Parts: sequence; C-alpha cells; structure tokens
Amino acid sequence: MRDEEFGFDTDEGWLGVARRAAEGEALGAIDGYTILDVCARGGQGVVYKARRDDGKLVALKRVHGGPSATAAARARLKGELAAAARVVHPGIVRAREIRANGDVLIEMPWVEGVTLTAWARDRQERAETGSPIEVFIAVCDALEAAHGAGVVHRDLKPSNILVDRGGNPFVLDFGLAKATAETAGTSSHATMTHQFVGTPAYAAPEQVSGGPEAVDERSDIYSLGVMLYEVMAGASPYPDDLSLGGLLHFIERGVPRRPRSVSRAVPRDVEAVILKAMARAPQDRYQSITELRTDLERCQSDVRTLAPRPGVLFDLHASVRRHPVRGAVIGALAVLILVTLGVVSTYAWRLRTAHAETARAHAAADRVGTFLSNLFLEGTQGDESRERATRILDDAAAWIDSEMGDDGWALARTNIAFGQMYAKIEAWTQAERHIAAALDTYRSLGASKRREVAEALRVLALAEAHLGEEGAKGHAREALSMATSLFDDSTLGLANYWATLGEVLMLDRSGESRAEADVCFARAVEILGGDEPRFPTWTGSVLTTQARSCLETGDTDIGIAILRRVLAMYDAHGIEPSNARYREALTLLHSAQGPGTPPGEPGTETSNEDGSGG
Amino acid sequence: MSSAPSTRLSLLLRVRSSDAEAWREFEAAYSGLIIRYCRRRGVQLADAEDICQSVLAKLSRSLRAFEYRPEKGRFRDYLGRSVQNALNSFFASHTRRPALVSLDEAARAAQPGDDAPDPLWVEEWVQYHYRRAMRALDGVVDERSLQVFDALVHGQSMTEVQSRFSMTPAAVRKVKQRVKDRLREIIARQIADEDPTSRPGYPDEHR
Repeated sequence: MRDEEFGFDTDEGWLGVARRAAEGEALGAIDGYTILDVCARGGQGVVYKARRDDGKLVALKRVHGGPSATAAARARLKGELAAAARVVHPGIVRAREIRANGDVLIEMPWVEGVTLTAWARDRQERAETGSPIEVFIAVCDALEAAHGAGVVHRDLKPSNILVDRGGNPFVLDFGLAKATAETAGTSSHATMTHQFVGTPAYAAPEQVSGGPEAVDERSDIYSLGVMLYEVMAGASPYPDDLSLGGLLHFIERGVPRRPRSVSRAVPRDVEAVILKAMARAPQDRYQSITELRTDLERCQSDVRTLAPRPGVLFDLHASVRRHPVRGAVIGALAVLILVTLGVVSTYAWRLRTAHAETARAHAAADRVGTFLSNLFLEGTQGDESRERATRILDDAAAWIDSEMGDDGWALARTNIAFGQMYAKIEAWTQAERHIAAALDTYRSLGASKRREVAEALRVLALAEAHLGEEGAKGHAREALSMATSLFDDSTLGLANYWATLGEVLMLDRSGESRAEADVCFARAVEILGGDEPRFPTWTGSVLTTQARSCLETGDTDIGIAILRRVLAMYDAHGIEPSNARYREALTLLHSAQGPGTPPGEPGTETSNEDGSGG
Repeated sequence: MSSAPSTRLSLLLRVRSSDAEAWREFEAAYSGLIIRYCRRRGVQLADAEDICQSVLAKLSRSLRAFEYRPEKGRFRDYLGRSVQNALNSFFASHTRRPALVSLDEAARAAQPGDDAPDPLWVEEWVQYHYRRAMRALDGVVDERSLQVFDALVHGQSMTEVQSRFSMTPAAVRKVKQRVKDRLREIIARQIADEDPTSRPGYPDEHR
C-alpha cells in the first residue's frame, strides 16, 4: 500500500479523499429511485442500494431473465413474493415486485448488515468467543415462521442471510427461488442452472437429483446444516476443487467429511446436529425446523442433543466401504466396535460432566463391553477371521486416534477397549501399544489409582508375557493389588486379575511360578463360585486359559484334563456347543489331542478333576 | 507500511480455490467500482451493468486460470485494464451513437496498449477502498469518534465540530488521528486482500 495514493502522507489529504468517497455521486436513477451504490452482484442479478423518492432506503434487485421473461412468469413471481410477504417475522425480509423503466425489479427494505459468511469470518478474525449458534437459532426462528405458513425458501445460502451489528440475522429472497424454478420448468438440470445460480453448494441432495416437487422444508434444513458446518468448521463439507458437475454428484452421492476432521474446535454435539441436518435422505434429517432449533438450543445449554453422535451412524458407512468385508459376522463386528466406542466415549464424556452418574456409567459401559467381547470372540474363530478382525481394529484405531486426540479420558478408555480387543485376538503388539498409550494418558491426567488403570495394567501384563517381555509379572501383581484395594472381595471382576497373574506366571515357565499359578487360577475359579459357578462361561474361560497355558508350556495332559472338565461343566449347565466359549475349549482340546483324534461327541468327554486348579 | 495481521486466505486466493462464496464476495466488492467507473466514463447505468457483467465473467475464468500473476503487477492495474478493454469494445460497437461517446472516449479507445492506468480509474479505486474502510470503521472506533469523523467528512469545520461536541482542538485532533490510523490499517488490509504479494508475512496460504 502506498500512503500517498490514499492521502495518508499528509494531515488533511486523507480527509479530503474520505469526503469525496462519502459524498460519492449517485450512480444513476431508476423510476422513483436514486441508485446510491452497488451492494451485491450475484448470478441472479445486481442489487443496488437505493433511495426511494419518499426518502426510504431500499435494496433493489434486478433479476436477469427467468421471472421477468414473460407475463406469466412475472405473475408467478408476484404471487410467490406475495405469499412470502404474508409471513410476518422480524428476521424475514419482505420483498415486492415493482416495475421501473420497463424492468422488473424486486424491492426490499434496506438491511445494514453483512452476509453470514463475512460475519463468521470477521468474528473469527476478531477472535470473538461465544457461540455463533445463537445466530442459527435466530435463523431457525425465522424459518419456523415461514415453514409454518407453508413457505419454503429453497435457496438458503450465506449470501441470503444478512447479520446486523447486533448479531440479528435477516433472511432474504423468500419466494424468489420457487418463482425462478417454476419459470425454468421442472427438468432438473434446467432448474439447477436457474435455481442455484452462482452456487449449488448449499443445495440438498433432493434438489440436485429431483425436480422442484421433491423440495420441502427439510431441504432448507439441509442448507442450514451446510452453513452451520462452514461457520463452525471454517471450511466447506465438500472436497475443494470440484467442478460444478463434480459438486452436484458429490452432493447426491458423496460422504462429506466430518466437521471435527476439519476443525477440532467444533463441539461434538454441534457436529452431531450438523450431520443430522445434513443427512442425505430427508427422512433421516430433522423433520422440522423446530426440532433443529431445539437441538441447537440444547447445544447452547450443553445438554445432550437428540442427534446420535457420529461414529456410529456416519463413519460406519465410510469404514465399511473402505473395507469390503466378506463375512457377515465381521460386518456385524465392525458395527459393534463402533457402537461400543461411541458408548464408551459417551460415558467417558458423562464421567467428566456428571459425577453422580459415574457408577451407572461404569456399569453400563461394562455391560456393553462384555457383550461386545463375547460377540467379538464369536466372530474371530479361525485365522482368516482373526486377520480380518485385526485389520478392522487397526483401521478403527487409526480413526479413534485422529478423532479423540483432545479428549484424554475418553481416549484412554477407548485405548483400553482396543487393548482388550487386540488381546482377545492375541494381537499382543497392538494390545501393548494401546494399553501403554492409555496408561500414559492416565499418568498425564494424574490418575494413578483407578479401575481403568488396574485393567490397563492387567492387559499390559498379558501382552508383555506373551511377547516374552520383562515386567509382565510385576505389572500383573500391581494390577491385582490395585484391584484388590479398589474392589471388595466379592467382586467377580477380581477373578480376571487372579487368572491373569496365573497366566503370566505360567508363561514364565519356572517351576516356582507354576505352583503359584495354580493357586491363582484356583482363586479365580473360587471367586466365580467354585463348583457352583455363577457364570459357567466365565469360569470356563478362566479354566480354558489355564489349560491353554498348560498346553503352551508342555503340560499337555493336564491341559487336556482341564479342557475336558470345562466341557463337562458346560454340558452340565446347558451351555450349547454353538457357544463361542464352548467351541473355543473344544477346538483347543482337539488341537491338543492331535490330528488322529476325531472330534468326538463333546458330551461324552469324561471329566477329569485332576489338575483342574479348582 | 504496517498492516494489521491477517491469517485468513486473501480473497483473491480464495476465488482461485473455486470457493463459490468467495467469488460472490468478489463480485459484490468490485462490481460497484466497475459500474461507478463506467458511469464516470459516460456510460448509461444499464450498459455499465452489462460491461460489469462481461468483465466479471472474463475475470472469473482468468483468475481461476491463474492468468493474473500478482508478482507481475498490481491487481488494481490488471482489473483496470480488463475494464478498459471491455469499455473499448463497448465504445467500438457504439461508435455510431455519438451521443453516448465523447471524442475523448473515442481517442482513448483508439489507443489500446497504453499500460498506464487511467487516473480516473485510480481515483475510483482509491474511493472504493475508502468507502469499504469507512463502513468497516463501525466496529473498531468508538461511537463518539465516529460522530466526530462523520461531521468532518460531511464538511463541518474544526471549529464547528469543537463547539458541537464541546471538545478542545487537541481532543478533535486526537480523534482525527485515531480515525486516520484505523482507516489506514483497514485499507492496508484490504489492499493485502486484493494484492497478496504486498502483504508482509503472507501466512497461512494453504487451505
């Protein structure tokens, strides 16, 4: 910038230029109006700031082609504007059609404000805090009045929403899009070119693919969703550099990137609202602007929204597509993993906000976790399934990593969940990595002694033992002692800690450890009800673990004996051979008995109490 | 020249990244300047609109095609030439309507290739930036200073302003200086927005 060009080099020069700029000659006149300035120029025509002869400031819009083309079109325009003008709301700018100098013009009251885009950006530049959601709530308010009167906007976009200095929004151009679309006919692409002159970036999928009749208030909801996305995330939901055709195709078929993948500053609840408003199918969106407004108000007051958190509904789609999974079981698994992660993170979120719910949250998260684990196990029998499961987990883990980086508690909890999953499919390296990450997080959060830390130490010990690393025994003991101090003696969960220490000791392969291991397994079985197991499959899984350790360390006979006992117990308690635990024990038994032994009738396996550890 | 720090992508760069809203903003920002200039060159409002439309249509393509290179000259001059060319073809096709075109215009039209920007264009460009900046003053200067500035801009003398606002000459001078500084900052930012190379630092140009 050169100071002298603007008169800044002298004391008075700049004021002279400012004076000339302020006085600025009128641009011209149109019947009854003095044109003061050009304030916008979009695809639909020029908008002037003008002074009506009665002194009132107005915006005058000259509409190219379309509505002004024929008498019939003009009548339609007049009708649509009149219908829209019946909606009385301070946030809706009423327009009327006039004729001046033989031209068709649209006259609106002058609103001193900037477009929503400019407003959002200025806000960002001034680093204003507080939420722009208030403005959207106010827009919803205005749209509620319009929709209530049966008027759909059809072309909501940032340039159609002006925001004044007080943060009050004004919605422009009601009725105009419909008049334009009807004039253009119903063929969708003809409609497109007229309806979205300038940009279709805010159009709903049904506006892109269907005729004008496919459009209803839910299309406006979609457009608001796109704007909310842009204001909150600071970028468009659609990929950059798309051609017009590419953009239309993407709106119709593509999966927009998630707001939080663009900006972490978008609160999760707001993201959920955006994604629900932007659901591709109208029936999956908010069904009324009132619903959307209510959820936005909830975001304002930090209450949970009705919109489901993404990750469950949203990423599933993309994730499954990335992973052409063959088995239905694995497909179901992917769903469950994502669902559980959603639940876990939600509960973690609740933990932070509502301590009263802590216990309930723990219990529910545990129930879901157990349910998932069992199903997971169900689907991961066999090497091929296991391989696939690992791939899915790897993918999901990467996603979680990028997704939850800023949310320590939830991230730690999720890392533990992953550690547990990997442990179940014996992917020990990954298990160790996730657990170590969780422990790091807890350490940095100053949480040294809590249930999750104990569980993390337990899984870490397992992983280390299987990887032949030092420290396994120490961690297993630490986990057990922490758990013992946190739980009361009757807590069944303690069984896992004893069983883990048993397993770790077995893998240590020293005679001394072996004796202690037996004691540990026995203690675990006892906690679970001894000979009258409270949960036969749980007891069975402890014993199966013991048996596996025996087989791995060369005590084949003892291992076989334990497995037979397990199967007998399952039979006695009516556990079906189709149960995953049953199959696990049976498969292990067959592999231990060697290839010569046919898979016999499981029920005929006689139990052998020796070495059962009970 | 210090300019207020701006981390946002310049308008021009956003236009280039096919940002539809940016283009709309661009149109809204510059069509006033183009139409005003055309009017000052004696063109009717409706014709000025048409010229503006053709200039913007060409610009939309050329900007995206990176025909305009900031390092080769100022955007002001590039836009000025585009408008000049459009005006020239307009005048050329209207030469049989002398009522519309003065001899002076015909002479200008007959001398294409003169790279020096028309002083009239430069003047309009300066005023365009002042107008935008004065609108932006609203949020950055206190109400009273705005009123004082408004009075000065609308031709009131220093003495009139002093008595109207019961201010000492020093106080009025202070307000003047403050408004000048703010305007200077705002305009510098606007220029940086249209001429990215003139911006110091040039941060955050990626999307």
